[in-house]
This record gives sequence, structure tokens and C-alpha cells, in this order.
Amino acid sequence: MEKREKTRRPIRSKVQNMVFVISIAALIITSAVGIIGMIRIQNDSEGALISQMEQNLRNITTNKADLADSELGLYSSYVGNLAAYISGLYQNPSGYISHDVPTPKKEDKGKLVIQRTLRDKSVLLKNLEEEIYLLGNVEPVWHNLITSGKGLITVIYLGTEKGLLISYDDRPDLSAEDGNDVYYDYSKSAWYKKVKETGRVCFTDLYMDVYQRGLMITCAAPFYDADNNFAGAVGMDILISDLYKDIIEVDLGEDKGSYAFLVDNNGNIINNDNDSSKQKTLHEEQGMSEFVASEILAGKTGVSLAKGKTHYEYTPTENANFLGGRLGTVEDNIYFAYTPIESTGWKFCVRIPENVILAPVRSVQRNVIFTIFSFLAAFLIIIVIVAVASRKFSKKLTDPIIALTHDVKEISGGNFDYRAKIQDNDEIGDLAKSFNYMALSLKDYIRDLAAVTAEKERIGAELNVATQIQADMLPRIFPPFPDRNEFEIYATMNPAKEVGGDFYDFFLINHNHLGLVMADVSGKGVPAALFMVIAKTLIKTRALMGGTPAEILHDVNNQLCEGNEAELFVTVWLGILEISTGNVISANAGHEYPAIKRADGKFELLKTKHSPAVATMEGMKFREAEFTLNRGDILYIYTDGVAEATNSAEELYGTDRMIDALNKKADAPINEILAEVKKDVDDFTGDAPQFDDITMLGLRYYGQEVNKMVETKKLDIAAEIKNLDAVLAFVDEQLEKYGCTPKVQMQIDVAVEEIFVNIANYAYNPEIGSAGICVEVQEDPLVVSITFTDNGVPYDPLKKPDPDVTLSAEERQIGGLGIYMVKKSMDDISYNYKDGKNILTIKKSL
Amino acid sequence: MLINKTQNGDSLTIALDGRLDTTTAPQLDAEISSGLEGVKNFVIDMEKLVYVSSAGLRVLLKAQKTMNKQGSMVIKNVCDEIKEIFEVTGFDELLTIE
Repeated sequence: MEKREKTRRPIRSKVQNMVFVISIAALIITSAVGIIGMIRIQNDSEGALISQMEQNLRNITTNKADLADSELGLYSSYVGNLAAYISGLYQNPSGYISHDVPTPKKEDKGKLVIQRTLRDKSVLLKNLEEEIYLLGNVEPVWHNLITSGKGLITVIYLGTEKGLLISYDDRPDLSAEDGNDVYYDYSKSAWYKKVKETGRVCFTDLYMDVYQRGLMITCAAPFYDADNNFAGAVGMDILISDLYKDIIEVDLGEDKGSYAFLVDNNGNIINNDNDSSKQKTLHEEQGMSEFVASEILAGKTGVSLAKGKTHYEYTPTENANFLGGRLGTVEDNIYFAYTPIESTGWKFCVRIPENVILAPVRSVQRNVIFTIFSFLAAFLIIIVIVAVASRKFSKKLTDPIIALTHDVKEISGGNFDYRAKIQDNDEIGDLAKSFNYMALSLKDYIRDLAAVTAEKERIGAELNVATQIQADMLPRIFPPFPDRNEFEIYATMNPAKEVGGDFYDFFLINHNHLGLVMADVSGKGVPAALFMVIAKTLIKTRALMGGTPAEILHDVNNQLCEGNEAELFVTVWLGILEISTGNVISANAGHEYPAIKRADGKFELLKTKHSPAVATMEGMKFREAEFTLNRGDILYIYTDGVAEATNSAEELYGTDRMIDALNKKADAPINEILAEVKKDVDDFTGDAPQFDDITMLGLRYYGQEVNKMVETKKLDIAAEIKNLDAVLAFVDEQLEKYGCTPKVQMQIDVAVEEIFVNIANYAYNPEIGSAGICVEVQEDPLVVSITFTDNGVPYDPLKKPDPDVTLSAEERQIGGLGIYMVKKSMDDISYNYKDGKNILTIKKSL
Repeated sequence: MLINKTQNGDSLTIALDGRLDTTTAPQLDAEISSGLEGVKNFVIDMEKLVYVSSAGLRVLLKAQKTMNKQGSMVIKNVCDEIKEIFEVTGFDELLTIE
């Protein structure tokens, strides 16, 4: 058993988990690939959009600038032609007739007329007459120009260095002063100053027409006198509202933040509005950065991004999804495209917020996020579907197994008529059929087995009886000879099967000779047992008739060889011990060596010469060996079941281990020594079955008792208190030469006094009888035994209960103290009533 | 056994010499029976006592019981052998041994 039981994981949950994990993994991989792809497309499209936008803006700005330049260039060429014409007048005045230029008149309102204005009162008309008549020649040219100008050229005028201003328009009423000369200092006007300074065709900045007709611009050019000196400037006012609209009207979608605008030379944004409060400079343009503004004003052409602030903004989504919109960061980044208009020095700018450009990308982004959420939703739904489906699938897979398990439990429970019901045509179906077949086979087998078992039980019962008979044949009551104390003997037999071929035997041949037999019949079981019975009987019978072991075995051999059809034989160790001397004569017929322990040594094998086993060949002679047992020696004989015991690793127990086991308890009683060997063999073989009978016999030799007693002295004396001193004197005299310690001496004296006084007081009361005191001293070890004998009333002092020595003086009983002191101080005390005598013996080591 | 008595007012000292056994115990018993009247401090000196048997123990127990009623009894100078007898029999708990 493992310490920690593994968690049970049914097949069903394994299949379920596997399907589930594979599905989820596939989903995750495809989702990841899809989402990464979408995000890449989104990033790529963002870059493409921006570069396309930049190209578009470049095209728009340059096209618009070209448009403006070509329109305005037309006007500048008109003015240039006018200037050249006027210069021509100065250089060739004689080629022209005089043409008067009158003062402005109210009645000319609505008519295109030429009119004059003086710079200031310091200018004298008479000084200008020549110039007036010369320059009046411009009228037809100007008339043609205005009438062909589609109403866009509202007025044409010129101013000279000499102080004359000639204008041509249809509103002379606005300046007319009843036909008198009017004054206006045009030399301070921007168009005049600019032309005078640059000497080139110039455009003024835009301004609102004073008649509210729209945005105006003045285009002016210098003209020169005959000496080629600057003589003045000619200019025309042009309504350019339409042109302005043409330029700044750019299709940038519906976004309010996307528009085009013009910046004039002062850095102001040109506005088509009369309200000056709405005028603003380029720097004030929303989202403009310093860098972009400086690029624009430097007249560069390009597209730049002005980084704006980042803020959070909630954007409702266009496509209705479950989120309804998104809250995200919005950067007010603005793209500015710009290019200068050469003719005026203005700058054409287009402003588009980055958000507008990236709107399609944002839309893609939203779609990506929506798709991711859709993926997740689909993911969850698929998880649920896969979980349910895998559950059903695994259930379908395991249900037959569970049903089969139930059926097999029914069969294994002993119901062999039960049949598994699974009919599926698959592996489980095959398994069910196999189980059904197994149930059928089991049923047949068990029926057969029951018959065989009944037969075996009958034989077994008979064999048990045989075992009992065989065991009864061996002497099994110990001690076998209770009145013989010259030796101690013990033997055991543990058969391997019910009846074995081993046997031991021991018997007194006569008063002084003990026969010892250890034998092992070849083969096992009933035949060996039968042979053993014959062999045992023959050996004992023959031995009792007298003779040496060799003679005995010789005769037994001849008897057993007769009609030994089964070719059985028996190894025998036969020894005859002469009890009085310890001398042993033995014959070893193919048997194990005996082991001997000398009194002061250890067990060792006694290797004597072998003869062949008994019953192998008729007429054989057997060898003998002699050895002597001394006091305390132990003889151990055994069969090969001990030495050849085998463990599960096929190792032999061997005689070395046997000797070691014998030596473990060599001083213990024989039965304990044998038990120790048996235990050691069992420990060695472990679970391996016992192959052979294990039979052992041990004998410890003491020799004859007489040698033990060193000295015995006896005193017969009248049992009277007055004789106490004489008794003590007799005992002390016997012990004197052994030099007892004062303590032991006093303990013995006290014991003798107590016992003798008891006899004197109670044994014959009131008569006086005799008491015998016998002192025996035994040596090695030195022990004194003192036996008190009297013929008085039977009385066993040992039966008296001990006094309670823990009581106080008042509670103490007077009696019983004496015998209690004897029990406590002596090593042994025994009482016997025999032949009408009380016999009490005490023993004490000296 | 020799018994040597020394009386000093209500104090009595008895010195024992020899063996206190079944034969000699009655002598001590007699001395104590007659001599303990009025004694409050009773001392038994065992310096020269070499032997005690159960008969002796009985007399000592009797003396102790008497003295428990009228005063105190002390045993002095006990040799090791006798001390062991007192211990085995539990007398070392009953008697006051110095």
C-alpha cells in the first residue's frame, strides 16, 4: 500500500478533460492568430492612410496655389500692360491728342467716367494740365479693360509723382464736390508706396470693399517718364471673392475642423467676413504650433503635424454594438499642408485634424475591438458547448464500462449464473463476452474443485490421524525419567508434511545405560512414515536386547533390507550413554555430525567416522566412535531438516548458523536451547515453505548426584527452647570453616532459631518430641541446606500470610514475624510432609 | 545477655550486651515491664548487641507501644546486621533509631 493514496481519476473525467483542453487550445491559437493579423492590418493601414493623405494634401495645396497664381497673374499682366502703355505716353507725348480729365460729378453716378483728384491743395492744377491731357488718353484702354472684366475690376486709377490721381469708375458721385477739384493723398496708400518702393507689379493685401461688394485686392504697377524716372503708379481694384472661394473651397469631407485658408503677408488669416473681431493671426489658428507657423511664414511648401494636447473623449460608435461607444484618448493633432502663392506672397494652408484622416483606421480599430469581444463571446459559448459535448461523449464512453463493472461485481460476488448484458460490438462488448466465458469456466472449475477438495479433506483427515499416531510413537513427556537426575533430556519434531520420515528416540536400556536415536528416512510422506515406524521399532527392540551400536545397526540393517521393495533407507545416529561414567559409544550411519558443548566451552561439531545409511545393503558392518560426557556437557543431535533448511533466496541454513544459535542460550534448560534453534531456523527461512522435517534432541549430562554433596551433618535433639543454644552451636560449627560474613551468619542463625522455636512451641505441644536438624553443604557454588524434621502435627509455616510491615506499632500483630524474616533472608525455603514428618528445608548461598 | 540500666530522674537508659533471642528476650521483657513506670525518656543502647531474633523484636515492639503512651523511646548504636533486620521487618519505621 502506498502511504498516500492516489486521487482516483475516472476515465470519464480524463476523456472529458482531454477534449476540453484540445478544443480550448485550438480556439486560443486561432483567436490569437486572427487578432494579431487584424492589429497588423490596422497598423499598416494607418501608415498607408497617412502617406496617402500627405500626397493628397500636397497636390491640393500646389494645385490651389497654381490656380491662384494663374488668376492673379492675369491681373498683374493687365496692370503691367497698363503701366507700359502709360510709360509709352510719357515717352511719346506728341503721338497722342489731348484728352481732358474732369473733376468728379454727381450726375455721373452709375456711368463709367474718368475723373481727376489732386493729392492736396499744394498741388496747382495749372502745373498739371500737360500731364492731365496726356494721361487722359488712358480712358479708352481702361474702359475696354473694365467692361471686359466681368465686373470683377471695379476701378482703375493712376497716381503720379506730381500729385495727380486719375480714376475710372462708375461712382464719381461719392467724391464729387459740385465740380470743384477734390483732394486725396494717395501717396500714402499702400499700393502706391509699395510700387514706388519695389518698382514692380505689386498686390496689396485683401481688404473689404467699401461698397460691400466683397473682398477686394489692388494690383498696381509703376510707370516711368521720358527720362525713365519713376513717374507714378497705375492700379486696379479687383473683386476677388469668387477667386477666394475657388481657392479655399477644398473638398475635405464634412468635418468642421477640416478647411483651407489663406494667410496674408502680415501673417493674418484672410477672412471673407466683414467683422474685424473675427480677424485672427496664423498663430491664433486652433491647433497651430510654433514650428508649423514658422514653416508657413517662411514660404515653404509641405505637410506638417502639429501635436496637440491629449484628452479623454467619449466617442459614440457608428456601428451599433453592445458597448454603444468607446471612451478613449483623443489627441488634437492637426495636419497642416501649406504652400506659398508666388504672385501675392500669400500662403495657402489646409488644416485637417489627424482624427479625420485616421477615422477609417479608428473605424477599423473599433471593428477589431468589436471582433475581439465577439471572439471572446464565441469563445465562452464554444467552451460551454465543448464542455457539454465532451461530458456527453465521455459519458457515452464510460457508461458501458460502469455497467460492465456492475455486472462483473455481481459475478465476482459469487453469482456465476449471472451474465454481463453488454451487447455493444466493440472492445467493451468483447470484454463482456470474455467475462461471461470466465464466469462459465469458473463455475465448472469450482464444481470440479469442490469434488477434489472433498476428497482431499478426507485424505487430510486420515493423515491427521496418522500424524497423531506417529507423534504418539515418539517419547513426548518431559522429563521422561523424573527420578533420574544424572541428565536432562529434551527433544522435538516438526514434520514438513502431515507425516514425516524423521524420528528421535531415547530409552533406558538398563539402569546405567541410556539409548539415544536420531534418524531420517529417505523420502517423505506416508511411505517414509511407515518405514520410520518399522525402523524405530526395530532399533529400540534390538537395542533393548543389548549389544553395541554397531551390532544393533548391523542387525537392524539386515532386517530392513529384507523385502525393501520401495528401496527406502534410513540414516541413523545411535548412541548408548553409560550414565555412571558419561561414556558414549555411537554409530553414525550416514547421519549428520552431532554437536557437543563442553561445560566450559561452546558448541562444536563432533566429527566421527561415518558408515553408510541403514537399509542400503545387507550384511553391512557399522563403525563405532567413543567419547565421554563430563558434568555440564551437552550433546545435540538433529536431522538434515535443520542444517538444510532453505530460505526464499535458496540459501542453506547450514551448521555454522546452527552452532551460533545453540551457543546463544547454551546455559539455559535444554528445551529453551532447542526452541532457540527452531526460532532461528524459522527466522532464517522466513516465508519459504519448510521442505524437510526438523527434529532435534538435546541432552545435558550431570553425572551422579553423590559427587555434589561435600558434607552432611545431622543432629537429633529434644525440641525445647532450652536447646536453642545447642542447635545454634551445632549449625555454626558446621559453617565455621566456610568463613561466612557476620551478616549471613546472623541471617542463618535467626532462621534456625525461628524454625526451631516454632517446632519447640507448637509441634508437640504440650508434650516434648524430638527434632532433626540436618546441615548439608554443597560446593560449587557453595550452598548450605538446613533441613528440619519433626514428627509433630502437620503444619506448613509457608502458608501463613506475611505480616504487613508498613503498619504502625499499635496496629502490628505479634505473630508471623519470625517465618517472614526467614523467607526474606534465605535463598530458598521449602516444606514437605512425608511419612508422618514435617520436613522444612532452607537454602542459603555462602 | 547483659542488661545495664541507668536511671536518671524520668530518663532510663538500658544498654544491651550479647544476643537478644528467644532465650534472652524474656529478661528484657521483665526489665521493661517493671522499670518503665514514670519514665519519659527511654533509651536502648545496642552498641554491644550482636543479634536480634523475632522474640527480641516483639519485646522492642511492646516497649515502643508502652512509650508511645508516656514519652519517647530511642534506639542507639545499632550495628549494620541488626539494622538490616529492622529494615526487612519494617521496624525501622516503627522505632526511633539514632
